[in-house]
Amino acid sequence: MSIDQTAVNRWAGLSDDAVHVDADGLDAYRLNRTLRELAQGSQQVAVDNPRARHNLGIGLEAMRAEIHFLGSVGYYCGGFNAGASIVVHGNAGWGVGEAMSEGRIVVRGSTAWSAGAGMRGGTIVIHGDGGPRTGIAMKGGDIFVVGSVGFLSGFMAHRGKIVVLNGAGESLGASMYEGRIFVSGDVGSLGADAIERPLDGKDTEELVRDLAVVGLPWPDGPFRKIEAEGRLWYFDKHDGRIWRSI
Amino acid sequence: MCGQCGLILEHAGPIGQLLHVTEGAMLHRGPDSTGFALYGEVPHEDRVIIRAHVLRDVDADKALSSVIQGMKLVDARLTGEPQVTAGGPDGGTFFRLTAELGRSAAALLEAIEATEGVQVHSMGWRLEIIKDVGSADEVALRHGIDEFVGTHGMAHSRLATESTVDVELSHPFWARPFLDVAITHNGQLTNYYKMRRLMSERNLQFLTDNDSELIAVYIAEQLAMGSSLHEALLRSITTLDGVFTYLLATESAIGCATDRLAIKPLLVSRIDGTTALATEEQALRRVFDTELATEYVREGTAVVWDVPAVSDQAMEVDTS
Repeated sequence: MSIDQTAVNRWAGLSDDAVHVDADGLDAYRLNRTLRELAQGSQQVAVDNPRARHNLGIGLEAMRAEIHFLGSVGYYCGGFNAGASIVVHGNAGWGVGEAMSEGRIVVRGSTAWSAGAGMRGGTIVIHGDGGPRTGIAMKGGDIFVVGSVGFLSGFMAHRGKIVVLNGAGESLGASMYEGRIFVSGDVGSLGADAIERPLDGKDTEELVRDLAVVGLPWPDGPFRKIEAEGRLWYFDKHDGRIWRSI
Repeated sequence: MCGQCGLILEHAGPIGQLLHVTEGAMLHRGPDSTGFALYGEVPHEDRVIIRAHVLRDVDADKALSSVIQGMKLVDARLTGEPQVTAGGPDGGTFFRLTAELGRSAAALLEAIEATEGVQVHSMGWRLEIIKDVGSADEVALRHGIDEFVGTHGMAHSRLATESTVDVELSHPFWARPFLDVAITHNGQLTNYYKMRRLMSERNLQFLTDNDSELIAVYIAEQLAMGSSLHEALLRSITTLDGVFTYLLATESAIGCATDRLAIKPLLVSRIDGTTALATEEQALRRVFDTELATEYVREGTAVVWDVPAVSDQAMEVDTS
Protein backbone atom coordinates (compact mmCIF):
# COMPACT_ATOMS: atom_id res chain seq x y z
CA MET A 1 0.00 0.00 0.00
CA SER A 2 1.47 3.35 -0.98
CA ILE A 3 1.20 6.04 1.62
CA ASP A 4 0.03 9.51 0.73
CA GLN A 5 2.91 11.43 2.28
CA THR A 6 1.17 14.78 2.00
CA ALA A 7 -1.74 13.46 4.04
CA VAL A 8 0.66 12.00 6.61
CA ASN A 9 2.49 15.31 6.85
CA ARG A 10 -0.77 17.16 7.36
CA TRP A 11 -1.91 14.70 10.05
CA ALA A 12 1.35 15.09 11.94
CA GLY A 13 1.45 18.85 11.47
CA LEU A 14 4.60 18.63 9.33
CA SER A 15 5.53 20.87 6.45
CA ASP A 16 5.54 19.41 2.94
CA ASP A 17 9.32 19.46 2.69
CA ALA A 18 9.78 17.25 5.77
CA VAL A 19 12.36 14.53 5.12
CA HIS A 20 11.04 11.00 5.68
CA VAL A 21 13.04 8.00 6.88
CA ASP A 22 11.62 4.48 6.88
CA ALA A 23 12.56 2.69 10.10
CA ASP A 24 11.85 -0.70 8.50
CA GLY A 25 15.09 -2.39 7.57
CA LEU A 26 17.23 -0.13 9.77
CA ASP A 27 18.34 -1.35 13.17
CA ALA A 28 18.18 1.17 16.01
CA TYR A 29 21.87 2.04 15.74
CA ARG A 30 21.76 2.78 12.03
CA LEU A 31 18.46 4.63 12.32
CA ASN A 32 19.79 6.87 15.09
CA ARG A 33 22.91 7.64 13.04
CA THR A 34 20.77 8.46 10.02
CA LEU A 35 18.67 10.82 12.14
CA ARG A 36 21.79 12.71 13.23
CA GLU A 37 22.94 13.12 9.66
CA LEU A 38 19.60 14.19 8.25
CA ALA A 39 18.85 16.56 11.08
CA GLN A 40 21.72 18.83 10.12
CA GLY A 41 20.20 19.76 6.78
CA SER A 42 16.45 20.04 7.18
CA GLN A 43 13.80 21.52 9.43
CA GLN A 44 11.78 18.40 10.07
CA VAL A 45 12.66 14.72 9.90
CA ALA A 46 9.82 12.20 10.06
CA VAL A 47 10.37 8.53 10.91
CA ASP A 48 7.86 6.19 9.25
CA ASN A 49 7.03 2.78 10.72
CA PRO A 50 8.56 3.05 14.20
CA ARG A 51 6.43 -0.04 15.05
CA ALA A 52 6.86 0.40 18.80
CA ARG A 53 10.52 -0.60 18.53
CA HIS A 54 12.97 0.11 21.33
CA ASN A 55 15.87 2.56 21.52
CA LEU A 56 14.73 5.01 18.85
CA GLY A 57 16.19 8.53 18.88
CA ILE A 58 18.84 7.68 21.46
CA GLY A 59 21.71 10.05 22.24
CA LEU A 60 20.67 12.84 19.86
CA GLU A 61 22.19 16.27 20.28
CA ALA A 62 20.92 19.77 19.63
CA MET A 63 20.25 20.04 15.93
CA ARG A 64 18.34 22.03 13.45
CA ALA A 65 15.54 19.58 12.81
CA GLU A 66 12.64 18.41 14.89
CA ILE A 67 12.37 14.59 14.86
CA HIS A 68 8.86 13.17 14.43
CA PHE A 69 8.09 9.50 15.06
CA LEU A 70 4.94 8.73 13.10
CA GLY A 71 3.47 6.07 15.37
CA SER A 72 4.10 4.48 18.75
CA VAL A 73 7.63 3.90 19.99
CA GLY A 74 8.99 1.24 22.34
CA TYR A 75 11.30 1.52 25.34
CA TYR A 76 13.80 4.32 26.00
CA CYS A 77 12.84 6.60 23.10
CA GLY A 78 14.85 9.82 23.29
CA GLY A 79 17.10 8.39 26.00
CA PHE A 80 20.25 10.41 26.71
CA ASN A 81 18.77 13.25 24.67
CA ALA A 82 21.24 16.12 24.76
CA GLY A 83 19.22 18.83 23.06
CA ALA A 84 17.09 17.41 20.25
CA SER A 85 13.42 18.14 19.86
CA ILE A 86 11.41 14.91 19.48
CA VAL A 87 7.69 14.41 18.86
CA VAL A 88 6.06 10.97 19.20
CA HIS A 89 2.77 10.71 17.32
CA GLY A 90 1.54 7.78 19.35
CA ASN A 91 2.36 6.14 22.66
CA ALA A 92 5.77 5.63 24.18
CA GLY A 93 6.96 2.54 26.06
CA TRP A 94 9.01 2.39 29.26
CA GLY A 95 11.63 5.02 30.07
CA VAL A 96 10.94 7.65 27.42
CA GLY A 97 13.59 10.38 27.77
CA GLU A 98 15.57 8.36 30.30
CA ALA A 99 18.66 10.24 31.47
CA MET A 100 18.09 13.14 29.06
CA SER A 101 19.96 16.32 29.83
CA GLU A 102 18.56 18.84 27.38
CA GLY A 103 15.96 19.21 24.67
CA ARG A 104 12.29 18.47 24.42
CA ILE A 105 10.20 15.32 23.97
CA VAL A 106 6.49 15.61 23.24
CA VAL A 107 4.39 12.43 23.36
CA ARG A 108 0.97 12.84 21.77
CA GLY A 109 -0.34 9.65 23.37
CA SER A 110 0.41 8.01 26.71
CA THR A 111 3.62 6.73 28.22
CA ALA A 112 4.38 3.47 30.03
CA TRP A 113 6.43 3.21 33.22
CA SER A 114 9.23 5.53 34.25
CA ALA A 115 8.95 8.40 31.77
CA GLY A 116 11.89 10.74 32.30
CA ALA A 117 13.64 8.32 34.66
CA GLY A 118 16.79 9.93 36.01
CA MET A 119 16.52 12.88 33.62
CA ARG A 120 18.83 15.82 34.37
CA GLY A 121 17.32 18.56 32.25
CA GLY A 122 15.04 19.37 29.35
CA THR A 123 11.29 19.01 29.05
CA ILE A 124 8.92 16.07 28.50
CA VAL A 125 5.28 16.78 27.60
CA ILE A 126 2.83 13.86 27.72
CA HIS A 127 -0.57 14.57 26.22
CA GLY A 128 -2.15 11.32 27.43
CA ASP A 129 -1.46 9.60 30.74
CA GLY A 130 1.92 8.99 32.30
CA GLY A 131 2.39 5.46 33.68
CA PRO A 132 3.63 4.43 37.11
CA ARG A 133 6.92 5.91 38.37
CA THR A 134 6.80 8.89 36.03
CA GLY A 135 9.84 11.04 36.81
CA ILE A 136 11.48 8.42 39.01
CA ALA A 137 14.86 9.58 40.34
CA MET A 138 14.81 12.66 38.13
CA LYS A 139 17.60 15.08 38.83
CA GLY A 140 16.35 18.08 36.90
CA GLY A 141 14.13 19.20 34.06
CA ASP A 142 10.36 19.36 33.77
CA ILE A 143 7.66 16.79 33.01
CA PHE A 144 4.16 17.92 32.05
CA VAL A 145 1.30 15.41 31.91
CA VAL A 146 -2.13 16.35 30.59
CA GLY A 147 -3.76 13.16 31.90
CA SER A 148 -2.90 11.39 35.13
CA VAL A 149 0.24 9.65 36.38
CA GLY A 150 0.46 6.15 37.89
CA PHE A 151 1.66 5.05 41.31
CA LEU A 152 5.03 6.07 42.76
CA SER A 153 5.43 9.01 40.39
CA GLY A 154 8.26 11.29 41.44
CA PHE A 155 9.75 8.44 43.50
CA MET A 156 13.20 9.44 44.78
CA ALA A 157 13.28 12.59 42.65
CA HIS A 158 16.36 14.67 43.47
CA ARG A 159 15.38 17.86 41.69
CA GLY A 160 13.17 18.99 38.87
CA LYS A 161 9.45 19.44 38.52
CA ILE A 162 6.47 17.28 37.57
CA VAL A 163 3.23 19.03 36.61
CA VAL A 164 0.14 16.82 36.34
CA LEU A 165 -3.21 18.20 35.23
CA ASN A 166 -5.55 15.27 35.94
CA GLY A 167 -4.66 13.31 39.02
CA ALA A 168 -2.13 10.80 40.30
CA GLY A 169 -2.10 7.25 41.70
CA GLU A 170 -0.83 5.87 44.99
CA SER A 171 2.33 6.94 46.80
CA LEU A 172 2.88 10.16 44.90
CA GLY A 173 6.27 11.72 45.58
CA ALA A 174 7.55 8.91 47.79
CA SER A 175 11.07 9.38 49.20
CA MET A 176 11.84 12.56 47.28
CA TYR A 177 14.85 14.73 47.93
CA GLU A 178 14.23 18.18 46.51
CA GLY A 179 11.94 17.76 43.53
CA ARG A 180 8.56 19.44 43.28
CA ILE A 181 5.28 18.00 42.07
CA PHE A 182 2.31 20.16 41.15
CA VAL A 183 -0.83 18.11 40.72
CA SER A 184 -4.42 19.00 39.94
CA GLY A 185 -7.21 16.43 40.30
CA ASP A 186 -7.51 13.41 42.60
CA VAL A 187 -4.45 11.90 44.22
CA GLY A 188 -4.55 8.23 45.34
CA SER A 189 -2.20 8.85 48.25
CA LEU A 190 1.02 10.63 49.13
CA GLY A 191 4.14 8.50 49.43
CA ALA A 192 6.63 8.18 52.30
CA ASP A 193 7.82 11.58 53.50
CA ALA A 194 5.77 13.46 50.87
CA ILE A 195 3.97 16.51 52.19
CA GLU A 196 1.56 18.99 50.70
CA ARG A 197 2.63 22.62 50.96
CA PRO A 198 0.69 25.71 49.89
CA LEU A 199 1.57 27.30 46.56
CA ASP A 200 3.12 30.71 46.86
CA GLY A 201 2.88 33.52 44.31
CA LYS A 202 6.14 32.51 42.66
CA ASP A 203 4.90 28.96 42.10
CA THR A 204 1.72 30.17 40.42
CA GLU A 205 3.65 32.61 38.28
CA GLU A 206 6.01 29.82 37.22
CA LEU A 207 3.15 27.44 36.37
CA VAL A 208 1.27 30.07 34.33
CA ARG A 209 4.44 30.75 32.36
CA ASP A 210 5.33 27.06 31.91
CA LEU A 211 1.89 25.97 30.74
CA ALA A 212 1.80 28.83 28.24
CA VAL A 213 5.22 27.82 26.89
CA VAL A 214 4.30 24.16 26.37
CA GLY A 215 0.84 25.10 25.12
CA LEU A 216 -1.29 23.43 27.77
CA PRO A 217 -4.42 24.85 29.40
CA TRP A 218 -4.70 25.80 33.05
CA PRO A 219 -6.66 23.00 34.75
CA ASP A 220 -10.19 23.43 36.09
CA GLY A 221 -9.30 22.63 39.67
CA PRO A 222 -6.54 24.02 41.90
CA PHE A 223 -2.94 22.76 41.96
CA ARG A 224 -1.47 21.08 45.02
CA LYS A 225 2.24 21.27 45.63
CA ILE A 226 3.92 18.07 46.86
CA GLU A 227 7.43 18.15 48.26
CA ALA A 228 9.66 16.11 50.57
CA GLU A 229 9.19 16.88 54.23
CA GLY A 230 12.84 15.98 54.78
CA ARG A 231 12.44 13.32 57.46
CA LEU A 232 14.23 10.81 55.22
CA TRP A 233 17.24 12.97 54.53
CA TYR A 234 18.71 11.75 57.81
CA PHE A 235 16.95 8.96 59.55
CA ASP A 236 17.40 6.14 61.95
CA LYS A 237 17.17 2.82 60.14
CA HIS A 238 15.15 1.44 63.05
CA ASP A 239 12.41 3.97 62.38
CA GLY A 240 10.92 1.95 59.53
CA ARG A 241 7.53 3.63 59.84
CA ILE A 242 8.82 6.64 57.96
CA TRP A 243 10.22 4.96 54.92
CA ARG A 244 8.14 1.86 54.48
CA SER A 245 5.28 2.81 52.22
CA ILE A 246 3.89 -0.70 51.71
CA MET B 1 12.66 -10.75 32.20
CA CYS B 2 10.77 -13.45 30.19
CA GLY B 3 8.40 -12.59 27.38
CA GLN B 4 4.96 -14.00 26.95
CA CYS B 5 2.10 -13.56 24.54
CA GLY B 6 -1.41 -14.80 23.98
CA LEU B 7 -3.74 -14.65 21.00
CA ILE B 8 -7.44 -15.34 20.62
CA LEU B 9 -8.65 -15.59 17.03
CA GLU B 10 -12.21 -14.93 15.93
CA HIS B 11 -12.25 -18.20 13.96
CA ALA B 12 -9.82 -21.11 13.96
CA GLY B 13 -6.69 -20.05 12.07
CA PRO B 14 -2.86 -20.23 11.94
CA ILE B 15 -2.44 -19.75 15.69
CA GLY B 16 0.93 -21.53 15.79
CA GLN B 17 2.51 -19.36 13.15
CA LEU B 18 1.14 -16.11 14.65
CA LEU B 19 2.40 -16.97 18.13
CA HIS B 20 5.77 -18.03 16.72
CA VAL B 21 6.28 -14.65 15.02
CA THR B 22 5.04 -12.69 18.04
CA GLU B 23 7.21 -14.59 20.48
CA GLY B 24 10.19 -14.44 18.14
CA ALA B 25 10.19 -10.65 18.56
CA MET B 26 10.90 -11.05 22.29
CA LEU B 27 14.03 -13.19 22.05
CA HIS B 28 15.95 -10.54 23.99
CA ARG B 29 13.66 -11.11 26.98
CA GLY B 30 14.62 -14.76 27.39
CA PRO B 31 16.69 -16.89 25.03
CA ASP B 32 16.86 -20.02 27.18
CA SER B 33 13.78 -21.90 26.10
CA THR B 34 10.51 -21.40 24.28
CA GLY B 35 7.13 -23.01 24.61
CA PHE B 36 3.68 -22.90 23.10
CA ALA B 37 0.26 -23.81 24.52
CA LEU B 38 -2.00 -24.27 21.52
CA TYR B 39 -5.71 -25.01 21.43
CA GLY B 40 -6.69 -26.84 18.25
CA GLU B 41 -9.99 -26.81 16.47
CA VAL B 42 -12.98 -28.19 18.31
CA PRO B 43 -12.73 -31.99 17.87
CA HIS B 44 -15.45 -34.14 16.33
CA GLU B 45 -14.76 -37.15 18.50
CA ASP B 46 -13.99 -37.74 22.14
CA ARG B 47 -10.26 -38.17 22.34
CA VAL B 48 -7.70 -36.66 24.61
CA ILE B 49 -4.42 -35.33 23.23
CA ILE B 50 -1.25 -36.16 25.15
CA ARG B 51 2.03 -34.34 24.66
CA ALA B 52 4.95 -35.94 26.46
CA HIS B 53 8.71 -35.93 26.62
CA VAL B 54 11.11 -38.84 26.91
CA LEU B 55 14.31 -37.86 28.69
CA ARG B 56 17.60 -37.91 26.81
CA ASP B 57 19.13 -41.07 28.25
CA VAL B 58 16.04 -43.24 27.84
CA ASP B 59 15.32 -45.47 24.82
CA ALA B 60 12.40 -43.64 23.21
CA ASP B 61 10.98 -46.63 21.27
CA LYS B 62 10.91 -48.84 24.33
CA ALA B 63 9.46 -46.05 26.42
CA LEU B 64 6.67 -45.40 23.92
CA SER B 65 5.57 -49.03 23.70
CA SER B 66 5.68 -49.27 27.48
CA VAL B 67 3.51 -46.14 27.74
CA ILE B 68 0.95 -47.58 25.31
CA GLN B 69 0.82 -50.84 27.29
CA GLY B 70 0.34 -48.87 30.49
CA MET B 71 -2.47 -46.82 28.98
CA LYS B 72 -4.39 -49.99 28.09
CA LEU B 73 -4.48 -50.89 31.78
CA VAL B 74 -6.59 -47.77 32.45
CA ASP B 75 -8.82 -48.35 29.38
CA ALA B 76 -7.19 -45.57 27.36
CA ARG B 77 -6.82 -46.97 23.84
CA LEU B 78 -4.99 -45.02 21.18
CA THR B 79 -7.21 -43.44 18.53
CA GLY B 80 -4.43 -42.61 16.09
CA GLU B 81 -0.78 -43.21 15.23
CA PRO B 82 1.72 -41.73 17.70
CA GLN B 83 3.74 -38.80 16.38
CA VAL B 84 7.38 -38.76 17.39
CA THR B 85 9.72 -35.74 17.19
CA ALA B 86 13.41 -35.63 18.06
CA GLY B 87 14.38 -32.79 20.39
CA GLY B 88 17.40 -30.52 20.18
CA PRO B 89 21.00 -31.56 21.00
CA ASP B 90 20.19 -32.42 24.63
CA GLY B 91 16.46 -32.56 24.24
CA GLY B 92 15.43 -36.21 24.23
CA THR B 93 12.33 -37.24 22.26
CA PHE B 94 8.85 -35.78 22.16
CA PHE B 95 5.64 -37.57 21.31
CA ARG B 96 2.01 -36.78 20.71
CA LEU B 97 -0.69 -39.37 21.32
CA THR B 98 -4.43 -39.30 20.91
CA ALA B 99 -6.43 -41.68 23.02
CA GLU B 100 -9.69 -42.34 24.76
CA LEU B 101 -9.64 -40.80 28.20
CA GLY B 102 -10.34 -44.12 29.94
CA ARG B 103 -11.01 -44.04 33.67
CA SER B 104 -9.85 -40.54 34.52
CA ALA B 105 -7.26 -37.93 33.62
CA ALA B 106 -5.37 -38.57 36.85
CA ALA B 107 -5.29 -42.34 36.24
CA LEU B 108 -4.15 -41.87 32.65
CA LEU B 109 -1.41 -39.47 33.72
CA GLU B 110 -0.17 -41.89 36.36
CA ALA B 111 -0.23 -44.77 33.89
CA ILE B 112 1.86 -42.86 31.34
CA GLU B 113 4.41 -41.61 33.82
CA ALA B 114 4.79 -45.10 35.31
CA THR B 115 7.29 -45.61 32.48
CA GLU B 116 10.56 -44.24 33.73
CA GLY B 117 11.89 -41.15 31.95
CA VAL B 118 8.52 -40.13 30.49
CA GLN B 119 7.07 -36.80 31.53
CA VAL B 120 3.72 -35.51 30.35
CA HIS B 121 3.69 -31.88 29.19
CA SER B 122 -0.03 -31.61 28.56
CA MET B 123 -3.31 -33.47 28.36
CA GLY B 124 -6.54 -32.04 27.07
CA TRP B 125 -9.36 -32.31 24.58
CA ARG B 126 -7.75 -29.46 22.67
CA LEU B 127 -4.67 -28.24 24.56
CA GLU B 128 -1.22 -29.14 23.28
CA ILE B 129 1.88 -27.85 25.03
CA ILE B 130 5.08 -27.95 23.01
CA LYS B 131 8.16 -26.67 24.80
CA ASP B 132 11.85 -27.13 24.26
CA VAL B 133 15.20 -25.50 24.84
CA GLY B 134 16.05 -22.84 22.23
CA SER B 135 14.67 -19.72 20.57
CA ALA B 136 11.15 -19.37 19.18
CA ASP B 137 12.48 -19.93 15.64
CA GLU B 138 14.38 -23.08 16.62
CA VAL B 139 11.54 -24.60 18.62
CA ALA B 140 8.91 -23.69 16.01
CA LEU B 141 10.95 -25.27 13.23
CA ARG B 142 11.76 -28.42 15.19
CA HIS B 143 8.16 -29.02 16.26
CA GLY B 144 6.18 -27.80 13.24
CA ILE B 145 4.49 -25.02 15.19
CA ASP B 146 3.71 -23.00 12.04
CA GLU B 147 1.33 -25.68 10.73
CA PHE B 148 -0.84 -25.69 13.83
CA VAL B 149 -4.42 -24.50 13.29
CA GLY B 150 -6.46 -23.48 16.30
CA THR B 151 -8.56 -20.90 18.08
CA HIS B 152 -6.24 -19.54 20.76
CA GLY B 153 -2.95 -20.07 22.49
CA MET B 154 -0.01 -18.67 24.39
CA ALA B 155 3.74 -18.60 23.98
CA HIS B 156 6.61 -17.89 26.34
CA SER B 157 10.33 -17.39 26.09
CA ARG B 158 12.15 -17.92 29.31
CA LEU B 159 15.05 -16.32 31.07
CA ALA B 160 15.68 -18.91 33.76
CA THR B 161 15.93 -17.32 37.21
CA GLU B 162 14.67 -19.60 39.97
CA SER B 163 15.65 -22.90 38.36
CA THR B 164 17.90 -24.25 35.60
CA VAL B 165 17.49 -24.24 31.83
CA ASP B 166 15.60 -27.42 31.17
CA VAL B 167 12.78 -28.68 28.93
CA GLU B 168 10.51 -29.56 31.84
CA LEU B 169 11.07 -26.20 33.53
CA SER B 170 10.16 -24.26 30.40
CA HIS B 171 6.81 -22.58 30.04
CA PRO B 172 3.91 -23.06 29.44
CA PHE B 173 2.99 -25.41 32.26
CA TRP B 174 0.04 -27.71 32.29
CA ALA B 175 -2.09 -27.71 35.46
CA ARG B 176 -1.85 -31.45 35.98
CA PRO B 177 -4.15 -33.39 36.02
CA PHE B 178 -6.76 -30.81 35.01
CA LEU B 179 -7.43 -31.19 31.28
CA ASP B 180 -6.93 -28.15 29.02
CA VAL B 181 -5.60 -25.72 31.66
CA ALA B 182 -2.23 -24.06 30.96
CA ILE B 183 -0.19 -21.13 32.25
CA THR B 184 2.60 -18.82 31.15
CA HIS B 185 4.07 -16.64 33.86
CA ASN B 186 6.44 -13.72 34.10
CA GLY B 187 7.76 -13.16 37.60
CA GLN B 188 8.53 -15.22 40.68
CA LEU B 189 6.60 -16.15 43.80
CA THR B 190 7.95 -15.57 47.29
CA ASN B 191 5.44 -17.76 49.16
CA TYR B 192 5.98 -20.80 46.93
CA TYR B 193 6.94 -23.30 49.62
CA LYS B 194 4.09 -22.33 51.90
CA MET B 195 1.60 -22.64 49.02
CA ARG B 196 3.16 -25.92 47.91
CA ARG B 197 2.87 -27.41 51.39
CA LEU B 198 -0.78 -26.39 51.71
CA MET B 199 -1.61 -27.72 48.25
CA SER B 200 0.27 -30.99 48.78
CA GLU B 201 -1.89 -31.54 51.86
CA ARG B 202 -4.84 -31.46 49.47
CA ASN B 203 -3.16 -34.22 47.39
CA LEU B 204 -2.35 -31.96 44.44
CA GLN B 205 0.56 -33.14 42.32
CA PHE B 206 3.37 -31.30 40.58
CA LEU B 207 5.89 -32.37 37.98
CA THR B 208 8.48 -29.74 38.93
CA ASP B 209 9.49 -27.39 41.75
CA ASN B 210 8.66 -24.42 39.55
CA ASP B 211 6.50 -21.66 41.00
CA SER B 212 4.60 -21.09 37.75
CA GLU B 213 3.36 -24.67 37.66
CA LEU B 214 1.96 -24.13 41.15
CA ILE B 215 -0.12 -21.15 40.03
CA ALA B 216 -1.65 -23.20 37.23
CA VAL B 217 -2.64 -26.01 39.56
CA TYR B 218 -3.91 -23.52 42.13
CA ILE B 219 -6.25 -21.90 39.58
CA ALA B 220 -7.32 -25.19 37.98
CA GLU B 221 -8.28 -26.62 41.37
CA GLN B 222 -10.63 -23.69 41.94
CA LEU B 223 -12.11 -24.03 38.46
CA ALA B 224 -12.76 -27.71 39.15
CA MET B 225 -14.57 -26.74 42.35
CA GLY B 226 -16.88 -24.38 40.49
CA SER B 227 -15.20 -20.97 40.63
CA SER B 228 -15.34 -18.86 37.49
CA LEU B 229 -11.98 -18.11 35.91
CA HIS B 230 -12.31 -14.46 36.85
CA GLU B 231 -13.04 -15.28 40.49
CA ALA B 232 -10.06 -17.62 40.69
CA LEU B 233 -7.70 -15.11 39.09
CA LEU B 234 -8.92 -12.32 41.36
CA ARG B 235 -8.41 -14.47 44.46
CA SER B 236 -4.86 -15.30 43.37
CA ILE B 237 -3.84 -11.64 43.54
CA THR B 238 -4.06 -11.64 47.33
CA THR B 239 -3.17 -15.32 47.90
CA LEU B 240 0.02 -15.33 45.88
CA ASP B 241 2.94 -13.29 47.14
CA GLY B 242 5.70 -12.05 44.88
CA VAL B 243 5.99 -10.78 41.35
CA PHE B 244 3.56 -12.09 38.78
CA THR B 245 1.88 -11.24 35.54
CA TYR B 246 0.54 -14.51 34.23
CA LEU B 247 -1.72 -15.77 31.47
CA LEU B 248 -4.00 -18.68 32.26
CA ALA B 249 -5.74 -20.47 29.41
CA THR B 250 -8.65 -22.90 29.35
CA GLU B 251 -10.44 -24.46 26.40
CA SER B 252 -12.77 -21.44 26.20
CA ALA B 253 -10.87 -18.40 27.51
CA ILE B 254 -7.57 -16.73 28.32
CA GLY B 255 -7.32 -14.75 31.53
CA CYS B 256 -4.57 -12.77 33.18
CA ALA B 257 -3.76 -11.59 36.67
CA THR B 258 -1.19 -9.07 37.83
CA ASP B 259 0.26 -8.44 41.27
CA ARG B 260 -0.33 -5.14 43.01
CA LEU B 261 2.54 -3.40 41.23
CA ALA B 262 2.45 -5.19 37.86
CA ILE B 263 6.10 -4.47 37.15
CA LYS B 264 5.98 -7.25 34.55
CA PRO B 265 4.16 -5.55 31.71
CA LEU B 266 1.32 -6.96 29.64
CA LEU B 267 -0.29 -5.12 26.76
CA VAL B 268 -3.69 -5.83 25.32
CA SER B 269 -4.92 -4.95 21.88
CA ARG B 270 -7.95 -5.90 19.85
CA ILE B 271 -7.48 -6.01 16.11
CA ASP B 272 -10.26 -7.08 13.72
CA GLY B 273 -11.79 -9.59 16.09
CA THR B 274 -8.44 -10.86 17.36
CA THR B 275 -7.46 -10.28 20.98
CA ALA B 276 -3.70 -9.99 21.30
CA LEU B 277 -1.66 -9.93 24.51
CA ALA B 278 2.09 -9.51 24.81
CA THR B 279 4.80 -8.31 27.14
CA GLU B 280 5.95 -5.78 24.53
CA GLU B 281 4.01 -3.88 21.90
CA GLN B 282 6.73 -4.28 19.27
CA ALA B 283 6.06 -8.03 19.34
CA LEU B 284 2.43 -7.48 18.35
CA ARG B 285 3.53 -5.12 15.61
CA ARG B 286 5.39 -7.98 13.93
CA VAL B 287 2.08 -9.67 13.32
CA PHE B 288 -0.30 -6.76 12.86
CA ASP B 289 0.74 -4.29 10.22
CA THR B 290 -1.18 -1.37 11.61
CA GLU B 291 -0.87 1.26 14.31
CA LEU B 292 -2.36 -0.43 17.37
CA ALA B 293 -4.51 0.87 20.16
CA THR B 294 -2.85 -0.83 23.11
CA GLU B 295 -3.43 -0.72 26.80
CA TYR B 296 -1.35 -1.95 29.71
CA VAL B 297 -3.13 -4.28 32.10
CA ARG B 298 -3.30 -2.33 35.33
CA GLU B 299 -1.72 -3.41 38.61
CA GLY B 300 -3.72 -5.79 40.82
CA THR B 301 -6.27 -6.74 38.20
CA ALA B 302 -7.74 -9.91 36.71
CA VAL B 303 -9.16 -9.90 33.20
CA VAL B 304 -10.74 -12.70 31.17
CA TRP B 305 -11.17 -12.79 27.39
CA ASP B 306 -13.54 -15.43 26.04
CA VAL B 307 -12.73 -17.38 22.89
CA PRO B 308 -15.49 -16.43 20.41
CA ALA B 309 -15.02 -19.49 18.20
CA VAL B 310 -15.80 -21.71 21.17
CA SER B 311 -18.74 -19.76 22.57
CA ASP B 312 -20.26 -19.51 19.05
CA GLN B 313 -20.11 -23.26 18.72
CA ALA B 314 -21.71 -23.71 22.14
CA MET B 315 -24.55 -21.46 21.01
CA GLU B 316 -25.03 -23.48 17.84
CA VAL B 317 -25.34 -26.62 19.91
CA ASP B 318 -27.87 -24.93 22.18
CA THR B 319 -30.15 -23.88 19.33
CA SER B 320 -30.12 -27.16 17.41
